[in-house]
Amino acid sequence: MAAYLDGKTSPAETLLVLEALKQDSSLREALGIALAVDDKVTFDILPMMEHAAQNQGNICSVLCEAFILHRRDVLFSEKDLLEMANARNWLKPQGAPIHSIGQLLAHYGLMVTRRYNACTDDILGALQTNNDVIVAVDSDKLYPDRDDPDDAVNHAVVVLGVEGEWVSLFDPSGKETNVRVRTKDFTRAWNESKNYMVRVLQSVEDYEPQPINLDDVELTDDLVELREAIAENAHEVWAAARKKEGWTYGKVRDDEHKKHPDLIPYSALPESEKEYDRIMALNTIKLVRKLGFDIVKNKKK
Amino acid sequence: MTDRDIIHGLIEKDNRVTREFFFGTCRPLFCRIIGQLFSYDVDYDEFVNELYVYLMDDDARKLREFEYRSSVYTWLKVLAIRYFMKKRDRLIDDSSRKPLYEEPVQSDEKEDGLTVESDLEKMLSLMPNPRYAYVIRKLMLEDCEPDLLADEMGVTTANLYNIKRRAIAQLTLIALNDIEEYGKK
Repeated sequence: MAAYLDGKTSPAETLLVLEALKQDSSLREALGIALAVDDKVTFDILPMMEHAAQNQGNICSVLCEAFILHRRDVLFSEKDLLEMANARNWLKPQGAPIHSIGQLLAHYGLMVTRRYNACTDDILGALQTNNDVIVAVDSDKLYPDRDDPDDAVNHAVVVLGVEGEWVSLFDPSGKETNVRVRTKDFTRAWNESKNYMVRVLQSVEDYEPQPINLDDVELTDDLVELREAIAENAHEVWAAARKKEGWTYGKVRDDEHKKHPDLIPYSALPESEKEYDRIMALNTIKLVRKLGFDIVKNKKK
Repeated sequence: MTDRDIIHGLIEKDNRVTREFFFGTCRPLFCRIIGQLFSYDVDYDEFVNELYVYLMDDDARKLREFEYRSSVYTWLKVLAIRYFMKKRDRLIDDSSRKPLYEEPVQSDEKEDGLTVESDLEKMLSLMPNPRYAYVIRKLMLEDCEPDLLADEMGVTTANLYNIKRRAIAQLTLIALNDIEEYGKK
């Protein structure tokens, strides 16, 4: 049946399957399900929930953030950092979810951006403007000579410099924290996190929006239908909040008198406005999938 | 990772392969299958773990028997569908909530003058995508060499297999609809 679904049966075998369909209700059901669930994930899932987990207590990301706070002359205590990270789930027993790296820095007022699929030029660009950079890597690829039986963890390190064949790092996992590794090892190790990079800005001028590229995520028809429901509800949420703040309908937007032309039912919105809500909804659904979550329809409804 | 790497990694219980392929890439697929088969709340993780235990049973016998006639992904899909169908039927049976429903076996006598090939011709005429119908006709009725057909259509042979795969899916849907309609008469 699998060969048939992949189009790899001979003509005679294919005819046999089609003939068997008539006789075998269980085969019909199985094939029907196979077609219904035929939504192979063809895109790269971003490892948002992977854990940066080296050092005793899996606190490498906290130590990297402490290193940067220290460089930026921010007063803090390591104990406070750990307590806060634990209390807010930025640090779990198995490590820090890599999407949480940088939360402590943001708490202390530093501007942080996160992105996947970065490249070494992005790191260089950040370092040239004195931004700090934390990346998530696979430590056994970073240090090919080290024995790492788990072969599973991501690890947070601060990139201090990239010069030709060598990359300088602050790596809190070793006795010697300032280390140099070969660029090719760094690249392989960094690829494991889909080139995840946390950039700590010096000023707002350094900010360049980098939304996650969702072009490769295709949605099934039912998820596309979900888009419309989400778009409409997003409008309801927005309109309810505005009305609560005292806004009313007006033909022209007037911030002083709290008038807004879009305070009308979603169905009456111009297509251009609906399209804005739809794009937001679609990107939200795609992002959920891109970050490794699945949306499954409850069969009861 | 090639399919051979995946099979080898799963058999050897390689952490990374198992985590990334079985519990990563395939988990959403398994959840969709479970969602199709169970109309009440079930523990998805528990079910997926059970499937893994089943797959690894008897020194991963099922994995060792894999013949590479399809992709590992499709093979696991079919294996999971069959496993969860059996599990569902067993649960229904055990709880006696409903009697096991067995559809009456349809007669295997064919209608006069009709052959499988003529049934296929009928289904091909119902296919909405003429390109897909053409591929099926050439490869399955006329037994045309894939390389020759790929040349004729200006696609690579690998791409032709992708087209054939989608064509098979469309043909199967039509076949299933046809049987359903026939059953209603």
